[in-house]
Amino acid sequence: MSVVDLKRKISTEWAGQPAAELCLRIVDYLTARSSQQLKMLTFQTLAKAAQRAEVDSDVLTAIQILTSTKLAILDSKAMFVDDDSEEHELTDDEFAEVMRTGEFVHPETGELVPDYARHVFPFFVPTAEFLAEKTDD
Amino acid sequence: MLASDNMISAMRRRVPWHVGQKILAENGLPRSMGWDRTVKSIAENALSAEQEALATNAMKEHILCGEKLVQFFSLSRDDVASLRAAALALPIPESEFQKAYPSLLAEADLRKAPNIPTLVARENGEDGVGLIFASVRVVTVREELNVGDLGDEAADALSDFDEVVGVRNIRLQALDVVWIPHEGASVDTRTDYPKGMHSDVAYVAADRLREAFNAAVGYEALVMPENLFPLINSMYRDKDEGHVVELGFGTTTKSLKDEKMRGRNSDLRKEPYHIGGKGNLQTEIEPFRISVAWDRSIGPKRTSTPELSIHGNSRIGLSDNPIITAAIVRRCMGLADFEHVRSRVNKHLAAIAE
Repeated sequence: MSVVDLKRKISTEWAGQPAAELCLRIVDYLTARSSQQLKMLTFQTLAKAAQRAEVDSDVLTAIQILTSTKLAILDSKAMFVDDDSEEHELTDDEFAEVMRTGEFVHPETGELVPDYARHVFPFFVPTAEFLAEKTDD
Repeated sequence: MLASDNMISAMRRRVPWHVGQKILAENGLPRSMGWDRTVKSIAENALSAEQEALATNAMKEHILCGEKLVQFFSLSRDDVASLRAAALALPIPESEFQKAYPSLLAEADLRKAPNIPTLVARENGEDGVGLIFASVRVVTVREELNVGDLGDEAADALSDFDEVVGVRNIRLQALDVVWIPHEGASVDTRTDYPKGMHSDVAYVAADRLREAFNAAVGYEALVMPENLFPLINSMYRDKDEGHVVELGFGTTTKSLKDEKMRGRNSDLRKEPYHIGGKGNLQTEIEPFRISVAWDRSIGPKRTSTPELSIHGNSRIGLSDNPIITAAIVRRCMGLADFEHVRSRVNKHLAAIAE
């Protein structure tokens, strides 16, 4: 789906919701930048893209909309950050396993990480489909 | 039993030398190369009564503002006025800490001293009232041991080891402060945080200080400290706000950076490598850690360089609700330095709240 069609779809399906306008701003932000610059989008990045001072409920709703399979604009990924601030990106399979079992195994030690939710953080990347529709790379 | 007969020995136990030598010079007090020689020289040539008074005043100022973990509490002006009145009326119980203040108890006496904060003094100055609470903190120090010094038997038993490390628990006397200004609507707590102390220890101490203060005034006066995370961006992007000497940040190009300036009179915001890196980004960097230093003239040939650090980590940077509840303030010589840092923090907090 072209970027123009994506934006039209957002405006139609979520008409009247504040998050819809934020989605359009985020899409414009992504469209205006090369894929090299968009390899890791945090909640803070997307709040800025949405022109909001902080990650409020509208921003979270917008992110939810953009990551929903219908639109396929953003993919959700996960980063584990241990107590030594070492980072390990989870594969899609590992992330799915954590969601399914509620357990997480430390990639280095192989031990279960208690209270892993405090250490696993979502981040976002544009989907391959969206990047293919962008023409500015 | 006091640590020593003069205030310089007490200062030596809590003031870093690079700050201490400026304090000594500013007050016209004798100094040599380093604390050991300075203390030895003063032991041989005692301070005059006037010099001792100057040292005592300097020590009191350093207790109020030197090497602290600081939390800020926004209240109403009426609440601050009530707290000020309560603070001025609080009785100060007798204790060994209180008798020694502003000097410190001898290290041997710290074994018997309480580790919960005890109110020992009140300083009512031009800008505000400081309530001083004393307690004992334990810092764990690891030292490599020379196996040869342990005797033949021990050397044999440990011969398979490449290193032998001893762990020592050192007791420090902390003097923490609750500061209630004469003007304004912000109270702050200042917990001693010397280099080498783990941040967890300092944060627990900050909680205990707040509990002790609330218990002393009889109600939950100080509850939620201000979230200082927004200050990181606010101060970084204000090019007139001191020198940025350290910045930790993430980029949307999937990198993590920790950049530092060598020396405190240079500004990372103007450093070519930092500018060039940002110039190649089409997105903004996302700071989660900052240290800002200010140059303050304190005489014709002397400056002090108080420094504020807000130390998050990449976890906080990734969070959807990043919260940092304390800042680290270092290198303050006295109240004027700390008041400068405090005023800058409050200015940015007020701008963020608008």
